[in-house]
Amino acid sequence: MAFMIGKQDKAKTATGKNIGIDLGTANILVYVEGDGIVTNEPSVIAFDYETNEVLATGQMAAEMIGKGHHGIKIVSPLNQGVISDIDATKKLIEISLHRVENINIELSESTLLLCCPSEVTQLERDSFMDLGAKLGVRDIFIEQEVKACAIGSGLDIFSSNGSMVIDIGGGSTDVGVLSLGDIVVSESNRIAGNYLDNEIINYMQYQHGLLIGKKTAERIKIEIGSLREEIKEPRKTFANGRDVVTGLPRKIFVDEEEIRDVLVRPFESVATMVLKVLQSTPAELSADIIVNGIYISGGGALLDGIDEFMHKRIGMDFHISRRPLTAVVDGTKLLLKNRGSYFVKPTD
Amino acid sequence: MSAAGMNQKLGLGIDLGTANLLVYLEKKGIIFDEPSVIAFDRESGRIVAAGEDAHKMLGKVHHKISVIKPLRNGVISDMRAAKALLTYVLGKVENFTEKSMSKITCVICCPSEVTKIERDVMIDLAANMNISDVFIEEEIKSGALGAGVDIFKSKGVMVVDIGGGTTDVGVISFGDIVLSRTIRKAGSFMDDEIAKYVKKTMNVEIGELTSERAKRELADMHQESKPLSLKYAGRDMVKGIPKWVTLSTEEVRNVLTPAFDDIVKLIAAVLKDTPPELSADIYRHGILLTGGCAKVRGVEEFISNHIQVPVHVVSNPLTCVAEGTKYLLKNRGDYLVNPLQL
Repeated sequence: MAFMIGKQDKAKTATGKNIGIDLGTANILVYVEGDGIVTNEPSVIAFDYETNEVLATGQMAAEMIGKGHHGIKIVSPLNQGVISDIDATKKLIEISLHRVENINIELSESTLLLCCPSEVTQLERDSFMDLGAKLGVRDIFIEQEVKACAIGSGLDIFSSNGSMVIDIGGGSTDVGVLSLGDIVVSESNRIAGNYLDNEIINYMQYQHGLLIGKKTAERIKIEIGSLREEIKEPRKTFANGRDVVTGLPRKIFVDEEEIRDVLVRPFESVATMVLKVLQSTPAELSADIIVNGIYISGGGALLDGIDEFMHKRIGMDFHISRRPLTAVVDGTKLLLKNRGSYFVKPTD
Repeated sequence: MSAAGMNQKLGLGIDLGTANLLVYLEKKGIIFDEPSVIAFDRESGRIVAAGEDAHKMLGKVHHKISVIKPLRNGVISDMRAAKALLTYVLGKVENFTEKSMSKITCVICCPSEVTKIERDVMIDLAANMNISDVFIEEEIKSGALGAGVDIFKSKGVMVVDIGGGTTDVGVISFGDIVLSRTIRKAGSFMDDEIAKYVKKTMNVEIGELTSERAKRELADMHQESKPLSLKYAGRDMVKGIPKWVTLSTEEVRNVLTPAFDDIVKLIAAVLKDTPPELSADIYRHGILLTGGCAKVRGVEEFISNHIQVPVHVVSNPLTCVAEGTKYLLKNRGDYLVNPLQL
């Protein structure tokens, strides 16, 4: 963290602002000090193929997924939690920052906090730093998502009371045990929202002979996705796609139970990862966790019955964060105040 | 004693125990009474917390903090940490600086049977802190004084000090120790025994803080005590997930009995070697029990049942050693001068 030293005072100059970015595979959330969360949109960007001009970002670009023509290049600049297209990411952040009116941010004077998944390699971390450099930000630091997520979920991680969070995002699922303001044990895997969508696509293809797009798969997951063991009144939804054999458009109905069966297996491995983290947790912190329970956050926390599912597999209390989708970016608010140091407990 | 002048040295008494650090400052009383634990930042070496705050961190830290107990079994095992802890305490509580340290007379209490090297380490510690005027006294002597016993008479007094790291047994008469023994079985050993028991019988690993809490809440050496069961949390050894275990007073008593048996054996051994004239005094006045484990319920009954000598727990078992330094500072531990009359 040597790069932090000596730059502390710069963060407080007038034109620069403290900016926290939760650069997720699925969604990008930007927090600007004094303005709150200015962007909360899918991390998708659409370019014109020839001129390389940006056509749309966020929600607008997300709606184009799977529907573009030759002239449009639609990019999800993040893949499995890490940056795969740095130029597109840069564009996306720039546009997100300037979308809000009356915001005049001098990036070179600002402090930027980027959140990354727990187990990224040094190379992947460096790419986050490069991104900051490309944006012209000199003062940049990186924190792990679970830490921000725990703070954003309203846990007091600065006390000696241990807490545990599961952050099921779009590209990665992170599990972490925190105490005294930092991470004690953490794990990460790539079984998260996008993986689930792909599982649904595969299922539809092999079971129903229907090719569906990513957007449809996501919609099915959000509308009827569930992990409950006993489903009383199975919900149904439609799926439109192309028949694999005939090549003609077709509409079918899927019900909650079959989707549940698709989702159970990936979540088994999430549960295994949680167990793995618990196994390497010091006994004293285990004692705190059994009292406090485990918090689930991220988009995956919105899945129906996930707390029940986890409770069955692991046997502890599971709670859903208050605002699972914005927990990470909410956490950056506080982390920006103490620059991620575990010494200082930031106050709101 | 002359009137207090600029050049007069300030007396400082330190009870550097395995479990707790107590600092007595002349004219102020006890200025610090907290666990002897210190936490450092690994990267910068900065002190993150000391005393109570650091104690809470035991077994709960991430890799950026290292929590250190500078003493093990009654003697200093980590010099750097011990120094940091004392300097931190003195600087924080009383704003002492390196310079003002040289104006201090310091007494450090140590267990009875420590080697010469271990004693020298204590002096080195003071020298490291820039305190040149330092002397070492035995904890039991200080403890007896702090408990308000006049040890300067021709009356034999027996003191049993069951602390965190060591148990000291000694006989005092005419202002000094006639004989004394130490074993390195005391509070922390008992905590470990409880943790081991839980691990062996229930396959659950519990942390240091939890086993200490279990001892505090459940230890009861009365032969017939109210049965009490409490729940403690730890980590299942097989599955790795957190798990509750139930411990009862009965179980804890069974675990602690061997440790207290050893202490009784030690007392008996010291009594065996005590000159008969002093034995008579001890039988008449009873044995004084000090130290943190004196707070274990029924410990006096347990000991007196085994050796048939009355046992009394002093009124201030935790602080008596530090309070005793008050008198030792006055006579520098000289048995000829009775500081109680100064």
